Amino acid sequence: MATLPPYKPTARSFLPASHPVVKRRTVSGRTIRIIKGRFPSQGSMNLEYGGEAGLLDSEAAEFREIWLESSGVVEPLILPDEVFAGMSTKLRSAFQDNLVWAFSKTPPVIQPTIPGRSTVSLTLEHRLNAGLV
Amino acid sequence: MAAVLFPSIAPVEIRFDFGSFSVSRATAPAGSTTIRKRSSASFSFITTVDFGPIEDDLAADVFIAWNSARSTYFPLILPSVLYLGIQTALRDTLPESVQWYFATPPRFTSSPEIPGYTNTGVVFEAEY
Repeated sequence: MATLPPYKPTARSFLPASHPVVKRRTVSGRTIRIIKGRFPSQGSMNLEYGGEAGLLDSEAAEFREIWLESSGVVEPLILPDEVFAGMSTKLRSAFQDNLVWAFSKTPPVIQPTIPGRSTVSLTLEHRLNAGLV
Repeated sequence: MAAVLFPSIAPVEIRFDFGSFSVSRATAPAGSTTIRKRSSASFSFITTVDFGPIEDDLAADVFIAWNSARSTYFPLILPSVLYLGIQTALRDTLPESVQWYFATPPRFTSSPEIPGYTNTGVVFEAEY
């Protein structure tokens, strides 16, 4: 499995994985909820690297390499501790252990800022481990 | 049915959206008259809560509540601290008999430059 480069993101946002729940409205207007699976999936995390200064272009290029190494969205990724830098142990452990991280739909976006430096932003998907399905 | 206790965190901003009737709409053959009809007895409420930057351990409690509630499946028990600063006249407009649920996954935003704190926001929904 490919490992994301060990740089601290400058911004990080995430949505936890969801259980497959569907809502149905009965004729009377009452809503019932049905849970259709045991495991949550499809969480996501957006990461931004570089801030105002940007990463060196050679560092930004590493993200492109990882995208190719993981065959885009296909292979799961190993996230280095730097991704969760500054996050408490309790919050980090709230992430489900039975889920794996992978690139979401699009490749990392590399945006040149000043000559020789770029920012990188990417979206990861927290998906169900295929071994559990 | 198990209800999940939402952690006691005071919000920095709360917004109520009262709420939507289910309405079906049809246009008469002449094309000029639209007929609206209430299609069910239900009435929905949305409450959007922004907790601002809170300690990571409190954000983790929100995360754990989301997991315990099986996302949007089990109802929630909302603590009174959520309504801190809201006058009774407004609060009483919220029907007490409704059950609250998560409407969407909680939103968390943080940065390693501000360690130990995470911006947290939640959307609840209720129907009755």
